[in-house]
Amino acid sequence: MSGSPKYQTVSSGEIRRRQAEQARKRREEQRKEKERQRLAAALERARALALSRAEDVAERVAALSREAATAGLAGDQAAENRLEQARERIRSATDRAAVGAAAGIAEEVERSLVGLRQRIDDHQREQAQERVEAVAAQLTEIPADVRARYDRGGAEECEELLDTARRYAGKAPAKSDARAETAAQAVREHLDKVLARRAEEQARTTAAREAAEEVYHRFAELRADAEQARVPLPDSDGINARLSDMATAVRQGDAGRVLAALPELTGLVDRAEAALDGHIDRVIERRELLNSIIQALPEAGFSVDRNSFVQREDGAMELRAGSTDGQQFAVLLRDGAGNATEVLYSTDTMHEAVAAGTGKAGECGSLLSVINRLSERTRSEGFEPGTVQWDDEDGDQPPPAAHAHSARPGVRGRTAG
Amino acid sequence: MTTLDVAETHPACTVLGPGSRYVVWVQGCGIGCAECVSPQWIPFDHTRARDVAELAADIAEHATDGLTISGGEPFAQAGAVAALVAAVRERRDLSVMSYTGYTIEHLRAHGTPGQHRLLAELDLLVDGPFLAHRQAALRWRGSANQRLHFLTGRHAALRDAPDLSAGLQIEVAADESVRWLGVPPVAGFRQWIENRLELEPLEQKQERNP
Repeated sequence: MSGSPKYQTVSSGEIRRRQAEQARKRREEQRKEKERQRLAAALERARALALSRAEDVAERVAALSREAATAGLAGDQAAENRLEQARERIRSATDRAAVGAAAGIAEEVERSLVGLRQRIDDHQREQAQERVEAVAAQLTEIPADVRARYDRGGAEECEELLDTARRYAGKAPAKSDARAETAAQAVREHLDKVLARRAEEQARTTAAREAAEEVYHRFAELRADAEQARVPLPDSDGINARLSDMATAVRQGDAGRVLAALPELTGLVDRAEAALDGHIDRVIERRELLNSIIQALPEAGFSVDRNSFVQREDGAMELRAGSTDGQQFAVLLRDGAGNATEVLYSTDTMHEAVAAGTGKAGECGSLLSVINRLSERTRSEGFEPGTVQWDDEDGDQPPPAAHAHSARPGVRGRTAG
Repeated sequence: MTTLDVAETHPACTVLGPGSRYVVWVQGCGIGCAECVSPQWIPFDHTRARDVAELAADIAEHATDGLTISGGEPFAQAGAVAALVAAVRERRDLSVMSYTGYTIEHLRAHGTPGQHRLLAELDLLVDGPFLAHRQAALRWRGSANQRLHFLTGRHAALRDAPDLSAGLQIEVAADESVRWLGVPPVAGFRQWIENRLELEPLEQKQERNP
């Protein structure tokens, strides 16, 4: 285990030389054979390595082609053909240089895949971006200000989700679809909410407008009635102002303001209507009463000056009459206490007497006889004249013929009806 | 007369133990390690028997620093080797080293009386079979499983010496015969050197051309 036997190694002279020569030849042949074997083994290793590499590239080509097909793009058929040619040349190569040249083709094919990879990536990004923009387009169905008005939070959320999906579409298309779907869901919910709220508000606005129009028409009719009856419409200016405000609110689509103002306005119109009706009733009554007086005046020696008839805005009525001897007689019908009609008579004869300071009772007695005649007539028409009252200091409304006098005789009578 | 089957001897080997040593390679090994570098000494061959007393006298006369027993398997003839060492020691107090394919634990537990006597005579022991797959460049050993035991304090100073190969001792004799001594540090050394130098064992040549 720790030593060799003795060896007999060398001989001298010619034998040793021949042996050495033979040994050299043998070694040379052995070296040549080994070199040939080494080259053959090296060629096989290079061939196997090149084929393995070409196979790797082929797998990449196939994988990219599948991916391209999925994306709707054509694969790189030229690359596949070149690769097959390269593999055939590798198999048939007789030296390593030929193997290397063929392997170089496989490398070129692999480098060329960069272009296909780029096209696939670009296409996938474009598709992802189109999907995102399709979702975004749904939002444009309704103007942004409208959407913000009815669902501001939803509008902002949709924009944020779309921005996120856009960012992914540009960088990681595979992750973009999930974001786009999330955004699409948010968009659907947002639009549903906007449409529902808008419909609700439109219905409310319509109801408010119709209610406002009804009030407006009622008031217009009252105004027409008042105009026709030549009487003032109570609180007309106040109601007009409120109607104007409400019309503004209607134009602005502010149903809440309209509906809030309606009860009070309706109440005002109701009260105006009731008051107007009272006015009209009294005007009719006064006309009938005045007509009765007009009928009676000729019997008292007066002829009616029909052109002197005046109906004031407050519903008061005036009329003058004259006698053949030049006396002027005036009648004024106006509101009295307790919704009764007050009849005021006056004559300039009375004025002259008062101005002269003589015969006051005599002129009054003449006027009184006229009033009595008129009262009798009106009574026969169904009116109930009241007691005659003298009013020297009536400063309310001077009769048309006494306009220049500070004091004049007057009579007040109350009628029934 | 006690005899020992001896394959070869060398009076001055410097690569099989410390210093310059007389080496006795015994003939015959019952272990048969694969890829043994000295397969020619595995068969037992009593035709190689030598008188222990004469051999001991030769060793005592020519050895320099010590005696190394290799082979073959020294512990296969442990009784005769122990007698040889004892006979040498009667003349000179030489350092004695031995190789064995057995482990020292096996020898101590299951050894024969002769093997116990031999163990008692040794200063150094390299034990364990040669394992080709663990071959390494180690001090006086062929494979990493083999251990160097310092059985006495004679070589205590060498315990911590570097565990590096002692190398090979190659000799070309005047008759142009070649031999090498030592433990090859690499596998296939013998085949390599025989092919390289076109060496042929002298015994085989003699057998082929008697």
